[in-house]
Amino acid sequence: MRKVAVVGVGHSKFGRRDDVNLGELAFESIKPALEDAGLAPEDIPFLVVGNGGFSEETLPAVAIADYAELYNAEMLRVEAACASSSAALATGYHAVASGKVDVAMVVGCEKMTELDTPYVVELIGRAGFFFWEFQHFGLTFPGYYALHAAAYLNQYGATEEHLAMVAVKNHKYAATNPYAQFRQEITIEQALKSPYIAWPLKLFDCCPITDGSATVVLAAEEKAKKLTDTPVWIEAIEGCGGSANLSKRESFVGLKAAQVAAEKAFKKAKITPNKIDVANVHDCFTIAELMAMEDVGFCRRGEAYKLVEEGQTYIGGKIPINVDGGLKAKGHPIGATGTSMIYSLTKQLRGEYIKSNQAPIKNGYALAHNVGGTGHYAYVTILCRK
Amino acid sequence: MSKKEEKPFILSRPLTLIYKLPISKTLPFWEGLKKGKFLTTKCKNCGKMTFPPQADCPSCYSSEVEWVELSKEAELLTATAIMVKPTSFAQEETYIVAVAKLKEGLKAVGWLKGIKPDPAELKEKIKPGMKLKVETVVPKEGNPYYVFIPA
Ligand SMILES: [Zn+2]
Repeated sequence: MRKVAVVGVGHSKFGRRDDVNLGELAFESIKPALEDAGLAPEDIPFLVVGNGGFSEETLPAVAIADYAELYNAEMLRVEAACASSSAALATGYHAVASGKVDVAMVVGCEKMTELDTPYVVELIGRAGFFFWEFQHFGLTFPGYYALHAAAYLNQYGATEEHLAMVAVKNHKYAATNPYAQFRQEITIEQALKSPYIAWPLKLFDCCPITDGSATVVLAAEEKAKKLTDTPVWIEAIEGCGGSANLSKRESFVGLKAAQVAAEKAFKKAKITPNKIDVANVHDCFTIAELMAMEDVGFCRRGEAYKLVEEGQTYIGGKIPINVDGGLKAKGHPIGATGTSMIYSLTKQLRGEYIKSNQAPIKNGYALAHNVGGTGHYAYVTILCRK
Repeated sequence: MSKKEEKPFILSRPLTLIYKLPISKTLPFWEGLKKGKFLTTKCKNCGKMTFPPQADCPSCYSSEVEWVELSKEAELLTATAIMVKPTSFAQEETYIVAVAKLKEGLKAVGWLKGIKPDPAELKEKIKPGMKLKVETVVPKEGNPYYVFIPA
């Protein structure tokens, strides 16, 4: 297997993007990613699109490739729910690492706001175990995570206030991220006063419905060194599946698939979690950020809320987490979230991120934790600038 | 937050999707509910019980399974109340969805009735270990289902 580097990244503005269609939105990240890599559309022999399937286009890769005329590429669309573009990244990584191609482009793109909100709630709710959970009992996506939140709060004595602290941090960093959906800071009181969506989760515990795209260009070692002086290496990208039906779950205070993916990734990268300088974890809900910190191994089980209380997840703390605003406030365009994490972390490792959001890079490692569904899929990626 | 003005758009052609969900292989479960029985499958080869029921054993891959009746005794693992509902559940009152552990060791997802879905009551009552029982429900219209109620 060959070494693979991120050599180009691009990002669109996230939010309610009713000014663009799927292809136009993807173009907003494809163009800067190609410019960043110093490549032209015809230099892309392999194109992977991560998309969860929320727009009117039933073949999203086709619509995107056509708009950007990426006609030289072998292409496919990859679905792993909210981890679709991490799965797409893994697919692109393997194509390059194996020697099949020297360059691959991974586009994460999702248009969600073309449907009215209740329909989006319905579609995402169906994206669990449809027959035994949605059809009869109407579980929603916030509901799935609320079941985990209730279990976590009951078991460890964390409170709804701790959940609010996660939201406050992520809004703070989104406020200075020009690509973020929410650009205003919030207070604990505001978060606690917001209405319940799925008890015990409130509006400010939930990520918004978002349109957005993020693109990553990968290259094999030799090619990468020709293209850039600042390659960011993929040290590991590991995934794992988890039970669809919640009735088959051992525990509700963490996500098994993420634990396994993280363990495999750290083993492959031959480092321990304390070497990570900055991380993006899948905070589709505030509770998810707490579980992610424990699943990845930044702290012991039941202790994440204490780190949050101490402010250790801010820049300057032990482990800065989601300092681009996270899914919570930057936004969560399902199929674009994984590549958006890679965008932020690549910029972080290059030391060229937004000044107010740049974490100190000491060891040169960053981690992306991207979950699909409620741990139905999980991907953990470790990046290194050395 | 001010709501921004909508940008120009064209409405798509409408599409209504209604799927036919096959239940041939789990028919005894649905028939059982109508008779007040809570059934599931047990592998004749390795003895593994599954919930929800399935026609093929996920443990030893044998397709020789038998239907067995469950005790209807359970205890609460976790629960949520769905305040913002999907379109197809818009007519329902706020409902509580629970995950419970059945006496037989299996887990099941279902509605929890008999508790008011307001935050204060939920905070007080939704505690792991709460004793529950399973009740079967046969609505006038629609499919039979089961619910949990406090024992
Ligand atoms: Zn068996």
